[in-house]
Amino acid sequence: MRKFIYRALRITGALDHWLRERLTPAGWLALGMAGAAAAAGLDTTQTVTYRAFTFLAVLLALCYAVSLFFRARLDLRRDLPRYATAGEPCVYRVTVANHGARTLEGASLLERFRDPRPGFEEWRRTREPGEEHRNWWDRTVGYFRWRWLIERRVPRDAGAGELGPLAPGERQELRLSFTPRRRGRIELAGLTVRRPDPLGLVRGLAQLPLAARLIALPRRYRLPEVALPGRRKYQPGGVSLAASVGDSEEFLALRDYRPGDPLQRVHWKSYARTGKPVVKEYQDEFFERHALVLDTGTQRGEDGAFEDAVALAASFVYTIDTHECLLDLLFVGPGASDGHSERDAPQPGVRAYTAGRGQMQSEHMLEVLAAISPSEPAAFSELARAVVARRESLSSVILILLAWDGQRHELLSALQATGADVRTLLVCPESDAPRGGAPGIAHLIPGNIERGLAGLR
Amino acid sequence: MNTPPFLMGAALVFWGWQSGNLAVGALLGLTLEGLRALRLRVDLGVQEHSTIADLSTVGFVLLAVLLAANRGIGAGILQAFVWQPVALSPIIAAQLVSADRRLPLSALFRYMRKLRLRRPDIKDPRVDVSAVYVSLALLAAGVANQRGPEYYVAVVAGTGLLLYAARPRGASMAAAALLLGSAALIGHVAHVGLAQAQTALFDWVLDLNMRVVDADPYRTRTELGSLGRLKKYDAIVLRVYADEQAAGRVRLLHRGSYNTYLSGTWVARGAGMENLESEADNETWVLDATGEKSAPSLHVRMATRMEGGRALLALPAGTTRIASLPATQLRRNSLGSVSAQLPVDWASYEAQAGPGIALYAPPAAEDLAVPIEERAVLERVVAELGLRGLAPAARLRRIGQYLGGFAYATYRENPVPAGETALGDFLTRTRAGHCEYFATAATLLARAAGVPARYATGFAAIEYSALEGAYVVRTRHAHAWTRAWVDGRWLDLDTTPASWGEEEARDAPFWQSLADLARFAGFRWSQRGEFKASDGWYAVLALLAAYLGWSVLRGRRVLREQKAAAAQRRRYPGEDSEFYAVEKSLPERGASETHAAWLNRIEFSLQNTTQIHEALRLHQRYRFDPAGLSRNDRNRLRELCRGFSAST
Repeated sequence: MRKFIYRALRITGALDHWLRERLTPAGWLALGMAGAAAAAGLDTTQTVTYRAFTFLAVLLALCYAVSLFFRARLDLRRDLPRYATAGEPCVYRVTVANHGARTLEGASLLERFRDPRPGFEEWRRTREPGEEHRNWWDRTVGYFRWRWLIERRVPRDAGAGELGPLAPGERQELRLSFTPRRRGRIELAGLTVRRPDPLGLVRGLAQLPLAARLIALPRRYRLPEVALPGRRKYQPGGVSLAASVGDSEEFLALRDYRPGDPLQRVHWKSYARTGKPVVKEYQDEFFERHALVLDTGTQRGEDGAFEDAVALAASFVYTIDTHECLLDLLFVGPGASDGHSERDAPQPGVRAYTAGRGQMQSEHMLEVLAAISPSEPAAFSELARAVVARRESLSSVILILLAWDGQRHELLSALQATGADVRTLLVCPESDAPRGGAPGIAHLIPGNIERGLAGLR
Repeated sequence: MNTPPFLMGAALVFWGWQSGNLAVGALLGLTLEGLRALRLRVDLGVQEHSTIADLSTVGFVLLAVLLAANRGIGAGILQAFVWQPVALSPIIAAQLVSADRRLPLSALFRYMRKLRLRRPDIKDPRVDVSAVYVSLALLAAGVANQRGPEYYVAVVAGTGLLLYAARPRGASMAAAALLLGSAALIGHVAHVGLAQAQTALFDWVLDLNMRVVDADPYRTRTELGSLGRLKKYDAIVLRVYADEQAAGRVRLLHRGSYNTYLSGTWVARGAGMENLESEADNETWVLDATGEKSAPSLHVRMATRMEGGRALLALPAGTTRIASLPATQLRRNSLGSVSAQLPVDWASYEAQAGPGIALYAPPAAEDLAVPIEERAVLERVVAELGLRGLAPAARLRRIGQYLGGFAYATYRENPVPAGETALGDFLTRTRAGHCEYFATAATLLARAAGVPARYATGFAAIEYSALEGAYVVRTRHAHAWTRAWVDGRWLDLDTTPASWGEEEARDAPFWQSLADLARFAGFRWSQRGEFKASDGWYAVLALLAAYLGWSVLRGRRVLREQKAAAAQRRRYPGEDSEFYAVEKSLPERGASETHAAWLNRIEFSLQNTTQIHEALRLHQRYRFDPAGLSRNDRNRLRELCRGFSAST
């Protein structure tokens, strides 16, 4: 049964796409009127609207047949930015050159995205945010889930660019734009050149392949001036080790071996020369280090609260100046899953990325956030352990939580006990917020984050 | 899509012509074209457009409901469709007088408005629906069902003009004309073919399924020799309101008699239908003037389903008068068939019957004819039964007894063996069949034995419905029997085993009782009277419409065309803030001066500085806060600004 529903959705989706691609507004009117005329003229003895139906049906069929003769020999180049931002228009340039023998007139250019229809397994397993509130019929048929899965992959407002008359050998530039609905990868399949038939009912299409991809970064909020405490902390191993990679390079001196020194620090040349173990001593490093802890544990999927939490994290990554400090981003993955290739997704576990002082750049961290997806709520304890383990090196912690419970309360208490400055932002609907509020926690309501942020100091 | 000038008016005049409301169409067309030519504009917002569209839709739905209640659902909806251009005209009128000659899409879709409340990011484009309106007017003209060629010409011309107005850039006009012409030509051939195909299909379906319901008084084709199961339907076609005493006399309800058998088909030869004149009340029809002298011994009320306004009436034997039937035409033949014409779904009438069947034509040579191909078998059976030596009544009894030993069956597995007839096979080999076998066999056996006989068809009233308090007769209760001439009168002889009714009832689907409930409801609904509104009600409706129109348009600014267009271009959130009026009444603000700096500068000349600062705060929130102002704050802003304007 589910297979049948899935097939029906797939076929309907394809038909809908075909009609949208082919029909002009006048074509839609003709199709609608043909349908209405057919319905009113079912009994040909009762009304004469069946005459309008046959005329309009033949007209559409003829125009479709004519539209099939449309050909366009074009060379296209698309100058696409590397990143776009969810909810913001992404404008880019397309250069079109006519290699045909005739002038191309009255044509338009439209971006074509990769087939966004989900596979059967994905459609069956995924749950649309808030699906539990839908009625039995909607849940069974899964139409809204289907639409949601498609919409999250296809940007909105992908308007067609009108091409002026293009003589053979001529080149023309035009601007196209679309607005990503959400963060994540956007895959472009190519461009479609369209030209309506002489009556303007059905479009002739020439589909030119030009695959590309870009990443839509999470949307960002304007944060108020947040003064993070400037207490510098000892970073064992220096900048490099702070990021858990490589050795420190700030060499200070040589000294005698003391039990407990790591073997890597033995200076073998001096050992050979003096006959006793000598080790290298490095400059101790002190600098600010902030942790941005993003709680991804939710069973509601990528709903408004989750997306707002990610957007909030992105806002901090974007705002905090990482020239003079380090910023750790910690969250529980399944990690980089874009919904297309679940097989390639890493195993669940705590992910930690560090930006600043020669480590990752903030754009890369935004890229990580673009691909983030929800994790099991039970995995929060793992995240809490990871944060507590590095508490000694942290100047401040920004906690972005999706819920408020005992585990989260314990983490907050543990961090506060170390003397670190902790900012806690709880992103959840008003109904899920702790009664009477919790001290030291800023409660932000999904969909109304900016208002909540305005009160943040 | 834009419409060329005068196309809307022309479409409405055409609609008026086709629907027989030329004056209404012309007036509406003139009004709308006048509004288009008018340079005055009314400043209508989403709310006003939505209200107008909602009211028009509600009006249209009410009209459809009223017409459906009066004329039946199908006819009522079609009739409402005819009036659609009038019902929806306020929407297009509102579009024509609005500032940009467009209306917000959400005004037409309530769901979109609800969705936008939750998700304000959903776009609400302003659209021109005049092309849709013209198309609907043309469609409504087609529903009026004028069968002349003008409708097709108007559709082609209207489509051509609409498409010309929206022609694509650089399109070849010659190619467009060629396409349109070809489509018009092929479309014409297609619609003629479609109508013919549908007529043929309807005929075939009627022939297949409804033959029993809408019987032919001239001929009836039997299913003798047909393979497989006989098709049975549960639809109720007749209701008989008879008491227990009358039950015996209404068991067989006659519709047609036939005198000639031609290999599987019974024909009524020499029995043409003749018109019957009604009595002065137009509801009473006398079938037998001689029977009128004695008072009828049976009065029975019946309701029969009409097919396309026609029906062959089912009547008890010996019916002399039909009363309470306001038929437009009643015809009958000499064999007792009576057909009525009445444009309703259900016609009810009262049959009044005398003691015997006196009025039917006396026996003729046809009533004794036995077909050559059946003669040998029939003679053999007649000889076996020794019928010739008996009195006519005894012959019929013996035939009845003989056929009583046969079985009732609606299923036939094997074809008739070569060289035999279906009837011969029934009499000599299978000895099982349905009522048509029994009736044909009894009729022809009686004839072979020298008793004049006819093949009679009609219904058997054998199922009493406690729900309806009447005998309900279903399509599957269609029956056939023999009408034989004995002792100077016609007698009905039913030789089909009495168990046939029970056997068929067993095949009834399990949902029959539920379906019967719906059928009963439908029948009762069809028996209601027509709803008629008096002039007083129409006056109240007109007043109501005028009040609603006034309440929608009250206080809307009326602007000149250019100003309106300019105002349209300048739309931004909070543009209707009253603070602008306050600002104008105060010393001028510098070009690059903020409101706050300006107020600080002129503060010394003001009296209510706290209030104006509060008004500015509210105004700025109204202008720039994405969440806007609450109702209370909005009222407060209004109040503060008005108070301030009044004091200055």
